[in-house]
Amino acid sequence: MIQSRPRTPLGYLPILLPAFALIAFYIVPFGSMVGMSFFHNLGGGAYEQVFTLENYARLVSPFFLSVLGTSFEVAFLVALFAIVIGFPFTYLLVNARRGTQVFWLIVMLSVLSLSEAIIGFAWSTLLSRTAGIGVLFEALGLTEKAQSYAPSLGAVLAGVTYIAMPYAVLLLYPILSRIEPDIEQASRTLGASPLRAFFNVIVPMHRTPIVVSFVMIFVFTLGSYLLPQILGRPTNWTLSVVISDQALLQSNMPFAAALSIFLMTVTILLVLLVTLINRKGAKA
Amino acid sequence: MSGLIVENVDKFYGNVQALSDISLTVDNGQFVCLLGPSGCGKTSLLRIVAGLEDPSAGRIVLDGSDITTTPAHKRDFGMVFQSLALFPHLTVGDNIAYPLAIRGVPKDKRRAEVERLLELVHLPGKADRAITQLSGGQRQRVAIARALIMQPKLFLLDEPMSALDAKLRETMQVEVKRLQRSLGVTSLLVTHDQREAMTTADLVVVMSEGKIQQVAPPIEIYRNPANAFVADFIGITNLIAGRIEGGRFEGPGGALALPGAKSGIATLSIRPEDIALAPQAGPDTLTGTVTFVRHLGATTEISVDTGNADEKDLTVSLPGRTHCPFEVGDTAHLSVDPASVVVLG
Repeated sequence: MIQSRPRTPLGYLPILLPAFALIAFYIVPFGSMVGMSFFHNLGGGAYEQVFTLENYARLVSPFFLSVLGTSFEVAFLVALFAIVIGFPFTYLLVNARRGTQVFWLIVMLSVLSLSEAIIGFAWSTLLSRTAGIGVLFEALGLTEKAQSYAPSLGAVLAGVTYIAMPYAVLLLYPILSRIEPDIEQASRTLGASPLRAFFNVIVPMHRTPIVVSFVMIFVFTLGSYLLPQILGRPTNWTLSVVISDQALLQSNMPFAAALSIFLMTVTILLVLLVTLINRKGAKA
Repeated sequence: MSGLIVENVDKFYGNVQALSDISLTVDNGQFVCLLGPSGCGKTSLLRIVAGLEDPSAGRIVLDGSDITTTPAHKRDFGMVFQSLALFPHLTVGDNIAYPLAIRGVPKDKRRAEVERLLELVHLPGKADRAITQLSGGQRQRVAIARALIMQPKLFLLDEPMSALDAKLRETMQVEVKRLQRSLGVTSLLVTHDQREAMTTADLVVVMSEGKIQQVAPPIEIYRNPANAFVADFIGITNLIAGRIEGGRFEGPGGALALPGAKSGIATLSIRPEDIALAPQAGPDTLTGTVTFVRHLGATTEISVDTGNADEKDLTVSLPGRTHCPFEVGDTAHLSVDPASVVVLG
């Protein structure tokens, strides 16, 4: 690493552009959002530039806290499902033949290229009473009459997990592809069945990547606002839905800003907590 | 029947045959080395014995029972991998105790066993260390301890010493051999390093191109190689092609008396240390031009061009303190004790 400082002011020139971009595109908008969250809403998209805490005061209500709870519940479960399905899947993938690997990676990338709206409507059709798996279940005799599975919390989880899965796989793939095959084979020669070798060695060995991927998917899922509306009931709506509702439909920018900052703060605190717990666990 | 029997094992990878018709018997308590250049199939054979790969044909029999289809985790073998394959998330003690933990041995008993094994591999009191805190040689010992804690029926080692530096490797080879002798565990070691094989093995199995070339004790392999490949692979040798007629060999550079040798076309294998300098040309000497002299301290090596096939100069090794009268370009006369010559068909 180069430790010396530039000798002339001109030496600082190369960092000017990134510094400008950082200020113009991150710090200024974020600052204006922080400022906005303290303004007084006049209704109809207008607001008054006076300092008030009323937006934050309104936040602390059972309704918004329960919406926040729903957001975390959805994000937590989705991150959990994505890792629980994604980790074994990726492990099988890295041990598969080259062609199989390429095929599945392309499938994962194509899922990412789909618009969230298309995914939402596809799932809502799939879970519907008239054209979905309900008809299949009836035909198979699993249920007496076809029923609809959306809107529901389950439908939201299925849809969001579907989007989160490729992220989980793409996050874990480079890490898992570096495992030496010897590790799994060693545990087999020492008496572990392939399944036990997976749970006793492979999973605990990758504790940190698993936690990091979990946190990333958790944060990524918190921002999801379209699928909960398409696939969920209003009780399944996440804070992101409420924020977009306040900003776009109610035109209450100050309150939307306050909600965003609230969500962000709680998220950062949660991520810090998880990181801390993981570091402690890794040391123990 | 006690011990390991490998019976007519073949192994194909696609169309490539890695092993062809391998048969081998390892008696209980024996230390056997599979020795050969890379790609000779020795690692495939070890992995088939370990149960990590299936043979395409043939059987593996241990103590009288066929284990060909027994999965690796039910064979109760201990194996040390080339990469060591220690579990990075576990401490030294937990690594060594892994086979016990898998089998549900209670914690306090595990602890005692781990300490016993750590004593055995000269790492006492290191149970709570992280793997990353250990040196290469120490990791090696941990991998050995982990493979031995179950008192395995078979101790398998896949080039475990190849990552160590030369000096440490020699120390570990001696230590592995001592450990094996004191425990009496039947062992199979794969290596491409002939010194390693000579140090550790009771029996050396020389392999090449998926076939066994010779099975014999180390010194026998050196003194009486079965064919040109073994002679050339084990140590340094001079291979001289020529013709034997009436107990005399005639080849490039001269002739040698070989009383009792079968007549016909033959290749001789003569070790460099078995060649001596002759004062002058005689009926039983080889003559050539000195092309290189190397003073190595313990020995002096002289290369002599006798017009041998493939422009392979003869190598003569003299004890280091012997006076070497030659310079490059001089003519040298060489004599050989017939008893030290191996005639290859």
